[in-house]
Amino acid sequence: MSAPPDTGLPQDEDAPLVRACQTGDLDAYDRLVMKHQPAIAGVLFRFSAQRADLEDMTQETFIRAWRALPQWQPRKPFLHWLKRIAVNVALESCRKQRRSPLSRLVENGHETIHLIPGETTTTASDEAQQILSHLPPDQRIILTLLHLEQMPLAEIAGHLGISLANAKIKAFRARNHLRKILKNHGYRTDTPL
Amino acid sequence: MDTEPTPRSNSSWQEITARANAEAPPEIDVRLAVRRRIESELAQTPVPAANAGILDAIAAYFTGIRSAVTTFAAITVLILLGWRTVPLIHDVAIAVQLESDLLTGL
Repeated sequence: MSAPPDTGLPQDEDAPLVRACQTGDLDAYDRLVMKHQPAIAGVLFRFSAQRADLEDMTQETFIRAWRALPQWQPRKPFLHWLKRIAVNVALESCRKQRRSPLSRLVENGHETIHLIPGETTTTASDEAQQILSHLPPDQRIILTLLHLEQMPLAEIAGHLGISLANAKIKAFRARNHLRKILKNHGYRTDTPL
Repeated sequence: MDTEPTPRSNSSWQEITARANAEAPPEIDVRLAVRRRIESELAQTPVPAANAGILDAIAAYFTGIRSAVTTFAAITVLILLGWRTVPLIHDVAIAVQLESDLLTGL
């Protein structure tokens, strides 16, 4: 069997399905959603306090991806492109949370108030999210992807559309900010961040 | 044996993230919801595919008109500039001619 011609570009296995979607094939898009929703939920899970939020954000990511499909280029893997959209959805969600009256109460020193009424921090993810919610949205995104998603800084920079140098500066500031928050809330800060 | 749970505030960031990394996201399925929303958006699209050609032609026609207006405006500006510039060139030419005549003693 002959190998596909080498075009010099990495072969994305999703490319045929994406091309079918670009012609309006909804069944092909169903298959892409089924395939990639665990990975996208894995990223967005770090930014959502409740299951309903996670579902909304995942749904929004796939809707935006559908609308942007004509712009997709096979230069980068489809999942990479999808994650970039997910990061933007997460960033918008962080900004909305930051603007909400409830989050302002938290900022003003009422640490016992949870971001979502009726929700308590039962998992380490919840606890990490609550701590990170005190950071500005761009710093929160960087530290979440860096520490919880364990994404390389270069990839984070790519998703946020900023240079690697800029991402490094933001990460440095975010770590300093986080250190202060941890100290103020009585967490141990004897280990490097 | 100490059975007292470790207070959360006594944890370090590394410990929290290590525990968080071990947690898996809940399984969700948004396929149907995404499909419904896309179908709804497609249904609300105001341009039916059959009429797209006609509307495209109308759009192209107006684009053509806009292009013609732009060209006309550009030509008008050039003419006005020329109208102002031609006498100036004429004056310079006469001055050069006069100087040349003086030099040759005419």
